[in-house]
Amino acid sequence: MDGFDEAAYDGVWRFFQHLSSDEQAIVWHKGTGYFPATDAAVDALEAEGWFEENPNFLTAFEQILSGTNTPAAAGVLLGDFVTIRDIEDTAFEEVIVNNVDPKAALDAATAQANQILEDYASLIEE
Amino acid sequence: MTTHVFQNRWMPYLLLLPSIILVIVFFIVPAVQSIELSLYRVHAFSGRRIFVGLENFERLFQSEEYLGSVGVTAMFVAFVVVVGLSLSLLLAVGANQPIKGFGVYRTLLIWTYALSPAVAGAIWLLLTDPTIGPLPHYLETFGIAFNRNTNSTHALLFVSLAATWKMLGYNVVFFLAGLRNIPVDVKEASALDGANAWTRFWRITFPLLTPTTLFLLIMNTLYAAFQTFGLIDLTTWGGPGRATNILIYQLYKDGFVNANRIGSASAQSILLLVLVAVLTIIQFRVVGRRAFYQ
Repeated sequence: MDGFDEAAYDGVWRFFQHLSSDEQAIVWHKGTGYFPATDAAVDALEAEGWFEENPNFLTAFEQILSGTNTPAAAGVLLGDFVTIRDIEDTAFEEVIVNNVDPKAALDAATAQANQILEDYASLIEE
Repeated sequence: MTTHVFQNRWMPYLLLLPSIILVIVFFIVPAVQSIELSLYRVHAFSGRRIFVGLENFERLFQSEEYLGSVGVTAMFVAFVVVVGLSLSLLLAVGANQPIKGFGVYRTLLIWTYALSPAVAGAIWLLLTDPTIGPLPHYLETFGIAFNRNTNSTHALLFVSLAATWKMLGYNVVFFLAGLRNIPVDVKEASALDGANAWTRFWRITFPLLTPTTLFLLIMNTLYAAFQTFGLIDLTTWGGPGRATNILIYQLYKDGFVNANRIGSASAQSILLLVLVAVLTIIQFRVVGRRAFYQ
């Protein structure tokens, strides 16, 4: 990500500004059905009556708004997720295939995962 | 025989230059970078590095995962070398008989080496498929439930067989060449002295084959240690619960899949190099001293 000149970074910034603009968010929503990126875009869509004509597009919103907001529902927020998933999967396989004691296998996996998280934290702290 | 001297002083170096450049760019530079990387903890995408010294190596020696991988690789290499060379010698001796269609047999025996590891893996994958494969089906009549997906030993056996099978062609070619180089009069003389075929083989033919055997020993070790990655990646992905997690595959996982362990992967590649180098030196010493060069 380093080593580009100012003009390139400027271009990247302006591209992202364009992507997150309201008009583009509306185009995106109408084309794919995903959420628009900005609240202002949602307001604009409501104002023009889009959701009355197409109530099916409201379903995604209502589903999210009717859910709970607990840490468990936040999804997997792990640094170095792929490695940890691989360690976990291998631990499960060992338990099922080789009849390793489940607690021992998962404890070992936890220790390894903690080590990986520490490494990750050390790499991204400023 | 006259020796020729280049008229131009710089000509020899100029002619060697392309090869030397290739060796430096594709071997020396990556090796040095690998040694350098193994001393760091690296973040995959931002390139941030923290110098950690020999910590990568220390962790490897203490990690059960890595030591298990060393064990699996040892068994795998031993199988490929021992079974591969024995079977190939048998086939080569059989193909060396003065029978009709000798050329046909020779060509047919070589073709396993012409396959790519992916194709060889696919063939054995289908052969040993628990649901539709013929091998588990026939083994069932002996009461063996061969399942490479749920049984660690079967999985290791499966990849060992596939790797050995692939190298059969290569080994047979060299053994055949070695067998054809044995002078007939030596065998005839021993037959006149009253040696039967078994004695003739083990006392005359086999010792005269030792240079070939040494060469194939080393080539098969290198193949099993380094070139079987494609086979593992296509078939078992390190096996049910790390059963076929050979060193080169563990290295790949740490370096390319779990991208934040590039430092550890570099350390593993250095250790693998040292391991195979030591093995090769041992082979040279033990077998090389007994190799009978005419």
